[in-house]
Amino acid sequence: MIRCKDVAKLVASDQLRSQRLMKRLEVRLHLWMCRYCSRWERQIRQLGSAARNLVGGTPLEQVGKPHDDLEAGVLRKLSKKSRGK
Amino acid sequence: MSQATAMSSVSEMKAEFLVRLHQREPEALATVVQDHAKPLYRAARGLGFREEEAEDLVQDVFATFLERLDRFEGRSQVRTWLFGILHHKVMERRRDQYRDQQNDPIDEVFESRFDTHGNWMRPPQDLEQLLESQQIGEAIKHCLETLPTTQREVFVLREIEECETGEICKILGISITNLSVLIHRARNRLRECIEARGWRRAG
Repeated sequence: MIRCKDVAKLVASDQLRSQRLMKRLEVRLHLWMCRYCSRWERQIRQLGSAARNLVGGTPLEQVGKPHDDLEAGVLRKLSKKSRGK
Repeated sequence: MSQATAMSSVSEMKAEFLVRLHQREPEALATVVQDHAKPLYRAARGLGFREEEAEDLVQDVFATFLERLDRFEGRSQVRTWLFGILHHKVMERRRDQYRDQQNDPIDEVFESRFDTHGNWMRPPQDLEQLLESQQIGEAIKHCLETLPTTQREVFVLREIEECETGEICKILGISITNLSVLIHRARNRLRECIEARGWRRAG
C-alpha cells in the first residue's frame, strides 16, 4: 500500500506523470479515498492557479507596467547596439 | 502533406529564420522581441523585480542575446535560450541568495507532517476559503518573497510560464532529479507560508 507521505511527495514534486501506470492508478485511488491527501493535492494545484492569476492571468498593464512600450524600448536599444557593432 | 514533408518544411523555416537572425536582420530581431519581451518581463516581475528593474533586466537579456547570437545554433528554442540568459542575469543580481542547498529546513517541515509509517500526523489545514478568496493574491505575493531564488524561478517557470520539465532543466542547467527537489521545496514553502497566514487570519 502506498503511504500518504509518498503520495504527498509525488504530487508536490511533479513526479506523478513519470510513474508507471500501476503506480499512477494506485496514487489516483489513494487520492480518491484519503481526504487529507486529496486536500493536499488540491491545494498544490490552487497555489499554481493563484500565482497564474496574480501575474500571468492579468494583463501586463495591471502587473505594473503602465505603457506598452517595452518592445519599442528594447528594439531601440538593440538597433543602437547593432549599428555600433 | 506527409508528416515528413511537414517536418522538413518546419525545420527549413527554422533554419531560414536562424540565418536571418545571424544576419541581425531587423525584422527577425523584432519578431523575437515581440514574441518574448512580455513573457520575460512577466517572469522577472514574478521573481520579485520591481517594474523598472524588470524592464531593465529584459533590456539586458536582449542585449546579451544579440551579443551571443553567433553562438546560438538553434538546437534549443529561442525561448529556452532567452530564459536561460534571464536566469544568469537573475543569479548575478541575487548573489546573496544561497545556491541549491543539500539540506533545506523545509524538508524537515515536510517530514514532520508524517509519522514513522508515513501517515499524516499534521494534516494540511483546510484553506479552501482563503485559497478561493480575493486575498489569496496578496498572500501568494507575500509568500513568494520567502522563496530562495532558484526555487522561485522553478515555481514561476512551471506554474506561470507553464514550461515543460525538460525546458526548465535546460534553462536552469539542472537535472530532472534536482528539479523535482526544487519544485517540491518551493511548493512546500509556499504552502506552509499560506497555511501560517491562513491560520493567523482565522485566529
